[in-house]
Amino acid sequence: MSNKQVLVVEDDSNIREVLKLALEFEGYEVILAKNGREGLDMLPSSKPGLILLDLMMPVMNGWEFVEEIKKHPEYKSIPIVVVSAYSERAKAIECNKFVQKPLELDTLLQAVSENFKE
Amino acid sequence: MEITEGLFKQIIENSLEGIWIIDDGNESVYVNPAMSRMLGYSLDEIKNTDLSCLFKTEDLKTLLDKLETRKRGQSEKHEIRVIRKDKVVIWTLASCYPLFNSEEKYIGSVGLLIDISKRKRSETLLGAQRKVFEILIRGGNLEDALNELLSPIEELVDGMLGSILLLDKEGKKFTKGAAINLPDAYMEGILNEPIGPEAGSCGTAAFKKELVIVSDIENDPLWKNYKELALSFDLRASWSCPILSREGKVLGTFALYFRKIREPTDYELQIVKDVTAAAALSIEHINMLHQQESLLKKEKRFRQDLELLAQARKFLANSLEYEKVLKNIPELIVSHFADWSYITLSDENGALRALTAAATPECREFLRIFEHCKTDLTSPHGLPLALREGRSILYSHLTDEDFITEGEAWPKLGIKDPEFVCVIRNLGLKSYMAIPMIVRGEYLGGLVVASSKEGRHYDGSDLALMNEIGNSCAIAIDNTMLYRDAQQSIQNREDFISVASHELRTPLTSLQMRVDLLARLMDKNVLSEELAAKVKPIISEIQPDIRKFSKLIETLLDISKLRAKKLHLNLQQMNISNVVQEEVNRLKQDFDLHQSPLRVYIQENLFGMCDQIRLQQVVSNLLGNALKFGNKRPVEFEMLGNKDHITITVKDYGMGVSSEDQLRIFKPFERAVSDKNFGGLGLGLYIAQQIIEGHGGTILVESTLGEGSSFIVELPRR
Repeated sequence: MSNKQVLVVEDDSNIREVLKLALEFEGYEVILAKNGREGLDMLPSSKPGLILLDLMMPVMNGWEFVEEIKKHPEYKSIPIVVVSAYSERAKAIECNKFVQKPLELDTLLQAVSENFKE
Repeated sequence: MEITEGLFKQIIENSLEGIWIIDDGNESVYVNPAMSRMLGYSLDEIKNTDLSCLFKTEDLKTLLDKLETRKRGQSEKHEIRVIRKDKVVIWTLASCYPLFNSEEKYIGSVGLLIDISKRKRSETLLGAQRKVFEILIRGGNLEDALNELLSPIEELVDGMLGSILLLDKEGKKFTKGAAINLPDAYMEGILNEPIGPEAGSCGTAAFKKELVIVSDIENDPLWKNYKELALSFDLRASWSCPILSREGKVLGTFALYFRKIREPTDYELQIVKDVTAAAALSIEHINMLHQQESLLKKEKRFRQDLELLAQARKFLANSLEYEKVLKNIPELIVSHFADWSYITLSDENGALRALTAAATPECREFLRIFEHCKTDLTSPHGLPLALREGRSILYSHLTDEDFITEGEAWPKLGIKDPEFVCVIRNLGLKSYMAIPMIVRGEYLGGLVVASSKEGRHYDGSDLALMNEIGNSCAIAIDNTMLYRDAQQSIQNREDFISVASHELRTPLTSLQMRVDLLARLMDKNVLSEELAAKVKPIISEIQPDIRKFSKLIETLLDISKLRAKKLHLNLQQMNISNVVQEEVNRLKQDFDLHQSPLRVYIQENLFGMCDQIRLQQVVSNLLGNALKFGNKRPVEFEMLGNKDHITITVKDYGMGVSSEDQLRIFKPFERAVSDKNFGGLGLGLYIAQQIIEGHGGTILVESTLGEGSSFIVELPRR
């Protein structure tokens, strides 16, 4: 198990896949969740150094996910990079970095490497 | 000079006044030559003529009374008729004095007479004319007025029976007339007889337009067809003069009948002339009054019609909900001139459905059955016919028979429903109009207007008026439908943009990332050098295309948000100088790439409220345009602030924007130049304007064609 784990919470499978590809290529281990709920469920069995988070998702959206994370002392310090088209409302979320869709891979990878916490 | 008896006699003999002396037994003893001329009798003849032959019977009694009072010394002056030897009656003014001898015994009387016939004739005529006009002005009928004219004339000419006959419009026969003393049965006999060259005195006079004197009816060829009728009433002579209008048209005739064979005197001919002229004036006057009245009526109706039309158009122009507006129309028509009226509209299957109706209180039964009224489009009458033929149809005079619907016969309503027909029949349909509402050859519905029992018969001008209203309704409906279609198209377009851009964005995002990933892999030398040299340029060409593509989609998304009013700005206090500088730096690379010089001056540390991403979007749009349209000439970017405002100016020296295009370029899907030379959707400036206005600011352009443009953004600092 690599010590450079990234949790990707994203409902679009296509984007999920490409993020996985790109991050793995950069040497990260990637775990995937389809929505906030799945993401939360994965946290106890994993130890990500960063969470890549989409906002608009079914079941549990990004805002709710962040709210839950911040309640847990052991998770609340995990850096979060928000990836969304919804710039206005995304601003209101407590996160380390906001990356606007459409995604530029370089920008995204830069945000990941800058905010990754070992 | 000594005044002798001979001198007196000389004066009396030469006097122009008639002098007439009678003795105490009322026998004439002297008339001077003037008196003799006036009466037509010589002195000897008058001496042998009894007073009763000289005065009219009705005047004789008064005269004898007056002579009695004269015996008591009374002198007086009065108007009296005298019968001449030729039986012509003349009017005289008589001044009479009693004569007494030296013992003061009454020995006779003297009368000084002046012939006042001419004056009397004028007075009589004038008086008669005045009366005629009084009657006409009060609105009396022409026959009464002409009777007023006849009655004094009959007194002027002794023994005459007068008539005034009026010709019909075509001038072919007498239809009406006035007569006082002529027997009614005689008048009935001559009315409606055609005029002609041998049609009695009046018929001939009217035909020949000249005076006809028949002094002996029995033996005159002009009377051969009518003499039996005339003689049966003891009419022996008849003179008739045509009454002519100013234009010389024959209006009628004035006729004088006598019960004896008789030629007119000059005096009587003069009367005929005068009366004819007076009658002509009266008839023309009343014709004029009638004309005026009908003109006034027409004018009033015209005014009312115009008013109705104006009101209808006002209603129709008032709103785009035609179903609501059309409800006013039948009501308006009923208040104007109908007993009931309704509008039906054609539904999508072409069937007519009743929309709205109005009726007078007396016809409210109509409103009850109206709802069920089903117009059968196969009917050969009414609205179905109007719609089929594309023209308005008028049923001016309807009778009860028009409703009888035995066998296959159709009631003239175009509606077969027995209950409907029964109600309409009970209301007593008198007249009705069916007006199709047609636009561009397609019928939208129809208007029906009807009058019942007490109502009027509609005519062509009513139909023309309703036609106008029908057309106005059709146009109003059509306009509304076109407007709704246009609104729907706009909505469809916006829905499409919204759905399409959302749907396109997700796959595009992953596509872009995959290409980016590919490029990254290339950089890490995963391929052989030879292969990498081939693949690299392909990827580097795909990347900008995908970026352009995603930018277009972002623009479309912005537009659909703007249209749906869902573009929310996230306004925060920040260092706007830094925000703008960051975006300018990003774009500087593009300018370098295109070798276009960009001069930048940004005043430092200008703070204010703004949405960072949106403001950067505006800066990007303006600089992008400057680069696109700047002809590679230098572009100047300047940002300055004072305590109230921040002003951003982007100036290029390119093609410029013409003054008419300057208004257009801020509208969606507009662009100053043709699509061929420059790509893009033409939405950038529209979005920029919306964003700046969302910040409470303004954006405007100053430009001269061929010299360049300045886009100036002014933001409030709040």
